[in-house]
Amino acid sequence: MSAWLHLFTLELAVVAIALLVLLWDAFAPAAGRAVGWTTALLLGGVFAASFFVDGRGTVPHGVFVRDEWVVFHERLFLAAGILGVLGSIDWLATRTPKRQAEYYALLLFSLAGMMLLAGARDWILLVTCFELMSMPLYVLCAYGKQDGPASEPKLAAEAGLKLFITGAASSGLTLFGLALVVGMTGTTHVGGIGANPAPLTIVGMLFVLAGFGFKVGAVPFHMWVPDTYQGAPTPFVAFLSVAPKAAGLATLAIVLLGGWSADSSVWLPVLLVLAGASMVVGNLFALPQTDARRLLGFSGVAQIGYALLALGAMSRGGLAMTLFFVATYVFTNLGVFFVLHAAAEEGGGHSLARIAGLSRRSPWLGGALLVFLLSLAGIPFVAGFWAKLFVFMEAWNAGLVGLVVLGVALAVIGLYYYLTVARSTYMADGDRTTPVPTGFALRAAILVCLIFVVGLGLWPRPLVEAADRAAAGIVSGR
Amino acid sequence: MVESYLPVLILFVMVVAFAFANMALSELGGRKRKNVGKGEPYECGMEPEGNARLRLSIHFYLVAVLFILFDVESVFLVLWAVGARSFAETGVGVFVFAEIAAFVGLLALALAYVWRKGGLEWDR
Amino acid sequence: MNLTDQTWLWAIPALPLAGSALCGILHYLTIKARMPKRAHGAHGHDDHGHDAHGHGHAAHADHAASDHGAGDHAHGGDHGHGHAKVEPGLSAFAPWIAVLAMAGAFALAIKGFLGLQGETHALESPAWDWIDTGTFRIDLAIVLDRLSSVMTLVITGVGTLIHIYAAGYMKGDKHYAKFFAYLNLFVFAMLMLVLSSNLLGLFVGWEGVGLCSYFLIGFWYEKGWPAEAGQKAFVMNRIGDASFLIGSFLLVKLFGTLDLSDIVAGVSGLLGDPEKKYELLLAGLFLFGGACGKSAQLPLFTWLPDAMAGPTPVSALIHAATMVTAGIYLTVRLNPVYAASPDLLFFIGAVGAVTALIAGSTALVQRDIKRVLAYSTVSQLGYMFLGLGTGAWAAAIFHLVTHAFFKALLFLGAGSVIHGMHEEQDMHKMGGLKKHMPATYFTFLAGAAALSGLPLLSGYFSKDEILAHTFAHGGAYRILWGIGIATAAMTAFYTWRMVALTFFGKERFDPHHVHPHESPSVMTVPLMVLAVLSVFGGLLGLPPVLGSTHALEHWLEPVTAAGNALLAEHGTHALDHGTEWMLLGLGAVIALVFMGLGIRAYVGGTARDEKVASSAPGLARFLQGAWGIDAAYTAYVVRPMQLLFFVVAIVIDQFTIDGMVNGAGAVARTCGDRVRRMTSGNIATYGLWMGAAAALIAFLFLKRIG
Repeated sequence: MSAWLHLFTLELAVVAIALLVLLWDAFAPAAGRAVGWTTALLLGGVFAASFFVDGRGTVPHGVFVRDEWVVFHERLFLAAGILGVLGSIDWLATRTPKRQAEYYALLLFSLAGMMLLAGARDWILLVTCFELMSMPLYVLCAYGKQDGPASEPKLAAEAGLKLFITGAASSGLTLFGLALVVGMTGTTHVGGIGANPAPLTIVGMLFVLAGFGFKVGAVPFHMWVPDTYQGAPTPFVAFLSVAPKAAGLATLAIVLLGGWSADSSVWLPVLLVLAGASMVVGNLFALPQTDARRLLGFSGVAQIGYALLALGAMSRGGLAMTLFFVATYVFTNLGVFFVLHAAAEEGGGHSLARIAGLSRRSPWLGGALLVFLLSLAGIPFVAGFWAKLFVFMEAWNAGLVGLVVLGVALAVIGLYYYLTVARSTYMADGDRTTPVPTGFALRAAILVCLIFVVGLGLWPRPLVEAADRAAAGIVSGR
Repeated sequence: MVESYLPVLILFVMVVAFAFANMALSELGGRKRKNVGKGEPYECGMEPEGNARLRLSIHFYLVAVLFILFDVESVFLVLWAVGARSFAETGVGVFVFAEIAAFVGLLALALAYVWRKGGLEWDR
Repeated sequence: MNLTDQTWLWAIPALPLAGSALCGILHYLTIKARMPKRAHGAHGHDDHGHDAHGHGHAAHADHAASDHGAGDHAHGGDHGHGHAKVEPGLSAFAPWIAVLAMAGAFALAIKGFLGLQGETHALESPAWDWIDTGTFRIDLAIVLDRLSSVMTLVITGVGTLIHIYAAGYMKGDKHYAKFFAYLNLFVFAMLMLVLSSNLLGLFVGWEGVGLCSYFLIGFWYEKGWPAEAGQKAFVMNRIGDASFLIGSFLLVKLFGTLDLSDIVAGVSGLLGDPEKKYELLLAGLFLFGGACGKSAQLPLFTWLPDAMAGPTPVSALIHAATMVTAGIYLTVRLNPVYAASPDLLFFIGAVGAVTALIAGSTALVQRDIKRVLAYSTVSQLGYMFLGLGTGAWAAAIFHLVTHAFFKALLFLGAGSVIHGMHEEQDMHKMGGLKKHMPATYFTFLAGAAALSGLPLLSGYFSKDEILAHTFAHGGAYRILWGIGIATAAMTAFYTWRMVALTFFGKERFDPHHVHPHESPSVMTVPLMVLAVLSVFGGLLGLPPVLGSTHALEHWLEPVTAAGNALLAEHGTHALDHGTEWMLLGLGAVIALVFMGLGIRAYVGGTARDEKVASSAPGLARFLQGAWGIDAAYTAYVVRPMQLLFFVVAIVIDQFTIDGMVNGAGAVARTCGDRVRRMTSGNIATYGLWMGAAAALIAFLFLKRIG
């Protein structure tokens, strides 16, 4: 009927699944894990379909472009979504058996927002997608509001509120900035930023940047990260810590490298300051943390710093390595949070002491956690090694010597605190010797993450190539 | 270039300064006498009864939000209705009709969901 | 001449990798078989794969309880022997697989060695475009040249022996197969390090060996402190790795290639440009920093003594024979980079000499037999760097090879002693073991003689060659030579002190509880092979003055030619025969005299140690703690950092928990107020911060434009 509706096949499928899940729950409420598994399997079907649905093209007026870049991101977000659903199934079925479908539906709506975001080339569509991605996250964040530790029962509600208010403030910043930009340039197309390089356009863009900086959790817009990670339900934090960040970075790339590359002398210093500050603050603040999720929050801030560093290389290779880095980070961080969730699910908080004895109680869980942590630290034979190395290589090639040296040095500190987490799983824990109880879905999710992290560590080529093809959609040339 | 924006900045400062200056002046210069009568919500008329901070039922907000949702979305139908004839003349009528049908269908699904979930029942 | 179509070279690293994978699978199957039958509980979902708790836990509890002694005193036991035996199950096959993989790699290394004769300088596998996206390309190839063939022979040869030994040593450990999986993985990483054609493969190996070292040091993590030691080793290594990475980035920037042979060939072309020469010096310095981390030199050597927490075969393989020599290998591999700068060379020599002295003197007073050997290793690595500092590349490699023989032997011998003494490592509780463990005793003697540099043994020639080169350089190098000679004296003394305390004199253990016994032949046979190598290894590099050609130097000529050519521009240093004979004689006399002193002081027991401790307690403590360097790190680096982060954590972060704010004192509240708000958990302030940050950015850039 129309020449471009097929470009949205996958996104429409995701929304359809969300509606299906909602209506199923409304008309034939099913307890247990059926809803979750159906969602996961259908999403898996969409993921598989992404290799056959071969729509490439542009929506009239260039509002939306579906190219390799979008395909890469669709698959990445779908993978994160599938794992996010898998990791939540057991938790939802035991903790809130009566309210499951909304969780999945909200997650899918957010997912659809992310998938659309990657192809949006018009400010209106872009902002709408951004909000479609963000809004469900606020709700999900407070989903387990009765689920916190006994000492702080309202932690999740507080986390959700914090995410919401800071998120709303950042959306406000973005919109204010966009009002200036669109007013100055007279176009809502992302590529039109350079049309009128007046100071007010630049000020507007910097506000937009600040808004995106919030979403990826870059310093100095990172304050919500540790608080939210600490309070929100862990399976959701796993998703929150990867997918929206990948989406935020994708948006930054679209806007900066795609739309605004002409004035890179203006935004590059900002980006590099954000990258450097994120690396420093994230790594240094992660060191003294005693709560595992808070530690990972700051670690996430640091990792975003590395990703921004590669983005700052402003080359196709640099962008490709940003994507590679983010993709490995998605699987690694999901894995870490899932293991933490498994270890702490028996009740109580997420202090490092909680995972003591994990290696003895459940060696495979402990081993998986170690692998994920080593990947975050950038150690060979796991994916994170190549990610860090390639990021540093591209940034160095782009002449960002000082930041590379800083990043390399801070990576040492990173190794220290990641190993400290690993070491706490080795510590004796006299009280509990029985294996950690984990559900099948959670174990499957951890296993998938493990396969990706180790597989990409041994054979990163497919992902590097895919990332390179994707990056070519934004930065042409070599 | 920045200099050209100086008036804007001056205006901004003046606006802020004016607001604060008024507040400060009344704070500093005004006489303050406090008594029970002044503290009451209404200085004359009816005696206040009970607490002003009532907790309204959550259903109130729910119904209100639902109303606004469906109300606002029905506005889109007007736009379609106005343009329907010209759409048909330009040959995209079927397509646009399908689009609006999908839109209405989605609204119907949402309504069904809300209904099933008990969102329209006051006493649940 | 290079032969570039040698695909089979890939099999050298691939064999241990495959062995590692197989052992890993065996480990998985063993653990799986040990799992108790699943009980179908109310949950409906069973537990994740887990360990055979109950099989080993009770036995490990005593170790978990014995705390990690902070100082240098002997640690509780070495490892899990004497525990309730665990059914090996399928893991019994692991050592067979691992040893076969090693032996296969060794056979291929010999094949490569035989292929390198005559005019053939290197064998190369075809390049494998490992990643190639058009914009981003990484090739990998295996290059077996004269240098890497020596390294490969040592790694696989000594490695095979240690694997065989470990089959006996680790028997009964509940993670028998996992041990061999890690050990084989280590060998794979080490082979990648020495065989890779480019810096990237080298870096993978470089980080990979650190990872395996971390796993293996912490292998008995259930005791607590090995996990800590592993973390310390890994992080200190990573400091070096960071330096290495920056150094290699500098090289890539200078030469525009990752390929090692291109870099080596390109050095002389750069020297005309002073700026590039300076960058080359910087790259060399950073790479040397990496070498210091991996090879345990000042200031990063303090991890190696702690690394003794690992099982003894690990100490022998990783922390004596192979991984710690990676820094030497790297320096020799990139020899023109260093040869281009005499100042850098002297710096390297000085670092090596001072490290040798500090570590050697520390070894004098250790009571733990493995710590003596650990400090000795640091000291001998210092010698190798001293040799490199004089540009004597071949001499350093020569000492590397002989040291691999005799230090592996000594570690394995010490392991045999510890094994026979029921996990006792304190030499003060040994004595008179020679009649209980004859095979260990005689092989240990051979290793000790080689280490202390007794005439005509391997260590004698290799060490004296380094000292002769140092002497020949004259000038400030004479000071380094003096340090080297002093260290040689200490080496002889502590070596024979160790022998005397362990094997001579009266038995200082309770014969009712401890029944020393000889180790099984699977452990003693590798000792004997290594003993033979330790005695005759010197034949590789007999000095010319004895009327022979230096076989190793000649062998390495194609690799070192570039560096030697640059060195020749700064003048050559040769010794006349008389001086050379004199130095050889001096070395022999010192070794013999201090051997005698060492035996005489300690053959009667531990009285001398107690006398030193009582008469000069300050000195004893000073030496005991490696000149207080580790303590200084703790006091001046770790503690202030901890304090800083404590402040960060408490003042800035922990105050996010609202209750704590109320509890804080009024003064602290006033002072901390501004800081606390940085992350106060209060969303209103977050919003303010974000707005302020955005405004600041906007302001700054308005200024920039204006």
